[in-house]
Amino acid sequence: MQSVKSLKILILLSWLAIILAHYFALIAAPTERTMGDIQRIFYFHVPSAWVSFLAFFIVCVASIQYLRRGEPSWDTLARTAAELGILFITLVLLTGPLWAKPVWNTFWTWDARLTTSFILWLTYIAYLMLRGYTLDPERGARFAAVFGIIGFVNVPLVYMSIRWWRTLHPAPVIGEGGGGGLAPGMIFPFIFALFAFTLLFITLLILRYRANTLERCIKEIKSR
Amino acid sequence: MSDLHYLFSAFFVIWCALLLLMLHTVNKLARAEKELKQLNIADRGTVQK
Repeated sequence: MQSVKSLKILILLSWLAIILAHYFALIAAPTERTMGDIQRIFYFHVPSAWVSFLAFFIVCVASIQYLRRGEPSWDTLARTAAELGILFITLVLLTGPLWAKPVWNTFWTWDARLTTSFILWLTYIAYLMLRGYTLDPERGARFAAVFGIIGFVNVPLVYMSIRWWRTLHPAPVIGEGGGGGLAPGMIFPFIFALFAFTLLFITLLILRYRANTLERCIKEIKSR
Repeated sequence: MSDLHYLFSAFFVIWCALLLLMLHTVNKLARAEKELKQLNIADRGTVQK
């Protein structure tokens, strides 16, 4: 009973954080000088990318643990994180072109960052398809675990693509020290959006993990 | 389309996706809990018989 109550509080807190992040991004943050208001997409585009990377990292770690220990709970965690990672990388691939059109005058261009992100999306779609289409669930889980580990190789490639290749994509703002190329007024809304998206991701991960675990139990009971 | 159209399209996409995902997750969890409860009751019933 206590856990249900704390889950409800977590859901409420994460939505409150998302609403506040919208306020900071749309109203409180200063308007960017060259791009104008369209730059505000950045406050949700980058956190979505960060959360998807985090999700795929969890897929990788949980897959390694599943191969080492063979406990189905690790497989459920990997599957849950992959489902969420796909949603967030889809958001990245949808909000990116909406930002690009007014700035680059095109929705899409096959440059390194965009192409590697698209490949990442395809990889994890294939991951879920592999799980779905394998007849023996245990075998499917093992295949998916190997795929989940190999698939993660693309994540650092997506992150480093704008450093390694010449691309149209804006310069990095994370990991460059001192808030990167961000104006002082933009740093707090950005950090807060990162926090809000991470909190929402953790909430969704807990809820979906619980649901997927229960579904696995139901399948086990029915197959007895 | 103006910049604001693109900006609000992006926010609309984000809101729809996050809300739908949350609703789907809560619904999935509620359904699984209900089914497991029913299965447990049925299981106990079988044992008692």
